[in-house]
Amino acid sequence: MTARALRLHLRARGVPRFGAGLILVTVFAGVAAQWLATRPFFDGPGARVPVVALAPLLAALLLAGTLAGADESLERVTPVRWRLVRAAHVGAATVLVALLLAATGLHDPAVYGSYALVRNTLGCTGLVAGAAVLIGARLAWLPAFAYVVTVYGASPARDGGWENLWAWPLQPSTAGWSWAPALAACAAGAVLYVRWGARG
Amino acid sequence: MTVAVEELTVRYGRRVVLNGLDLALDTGVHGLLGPNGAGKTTLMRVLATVAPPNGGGVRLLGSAITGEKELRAVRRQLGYLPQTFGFYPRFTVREFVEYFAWLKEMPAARIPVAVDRALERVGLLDRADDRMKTLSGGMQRRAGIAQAIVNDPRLLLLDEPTAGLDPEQRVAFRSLLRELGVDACVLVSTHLVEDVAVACERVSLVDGGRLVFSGTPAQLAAAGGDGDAGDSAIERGYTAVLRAARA
Repeated sequence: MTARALRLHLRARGVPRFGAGLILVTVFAGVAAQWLATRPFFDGPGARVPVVALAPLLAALLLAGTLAGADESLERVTPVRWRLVRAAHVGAATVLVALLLAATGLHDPAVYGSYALVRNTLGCTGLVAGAAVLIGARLAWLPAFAYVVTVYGASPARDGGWENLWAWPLQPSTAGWSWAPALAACAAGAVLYVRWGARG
Repeated sequence: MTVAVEELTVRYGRRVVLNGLDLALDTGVHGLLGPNGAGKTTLMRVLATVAPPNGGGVRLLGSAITGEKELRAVRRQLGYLPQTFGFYPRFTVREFVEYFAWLKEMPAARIPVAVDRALERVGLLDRADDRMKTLSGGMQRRAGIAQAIVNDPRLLLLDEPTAGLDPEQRVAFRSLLRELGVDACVLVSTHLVEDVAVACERVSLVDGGRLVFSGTPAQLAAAGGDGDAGDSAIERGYTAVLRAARA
């Protein structure tokens, strides 16, 4: 594939828009996390929970728009090895989002910092990728959005028992079991997406 | 045979859409007629390798599609225009056709010439640098036809290609079809029997998921009588064949 073809493909997937949105989310996450953590009336780094929950969600919502072309059936009758393309797409996007967001929480990575941002990025991108297969890329943002907003609204205990599993987006990264559902969502979503692609 | 279909069965849930359909097509322009829900679009999707069959055999361009290698080889020589298609609104017409040339794995050196030629054949060369979203519906349809023919396919599948084209464009399109049919197998699904009468060498009529007629447009026209509904001989033939098939 030449540079020209790659550029056309990235534009066909809306990657420039995704990139611009991701930069905004990253800057917002960095500024907001710093501001929250340094307010005297909050409890230090623990105040970054909203950023840890919402920044990966916003990035994943932006990613949803890139998971399909304008006409999936038209593209799929071409001889391209689409599974490889999809694997590269979802893999590269997840790594990029995780690295950028992790950079915003590096000064205190363990307490609602980089580690939790990486975990939530994995979970949210997995949810979005899986949803794209089941309901199409256009609405793929909806299940992840509904889930994270519902969990956030429920205000579960932090570092608790079952809450580690179902409220993983709000748990500190030290809550070991909170990684399990995020990693499972990431693996399942990626496998589904690579195997079948977004629903046309 | 470019297309050889035997006992093709496709089901959506419990509904049988294609029911043991047989079809054989070679080089030339072939019309595919049938009422709404007859299974025309499903047949096109199977031949375009979008939808897998539930039963029966499909050989395209001389090979049965048994694996990834055969599938990719067929797809390189395939052109497909669905009934409706999505496009990238910010792409120019040239970029849209060029993108599909890349996806069809055409050699890079051939692409610029092939894109211009495809656009010229559908009469869009003067709009090549306009954005897709600025085109009329008929022009977008012609851009869709251009992406389908950019790789000089040996098998070209066009589902309702003349929908949205004005009479002058339809006349030009029929001429293009005849030109394409010299070297390729072209299957055109349409409701417009006059397009078939003028542009197609052979016509297949599908009803209820089965092939109920295969022959020349003249043979279809001859199947009708004065008592059959229709404003032209071929329309009367069309309604007569359907009536006989449903009897």
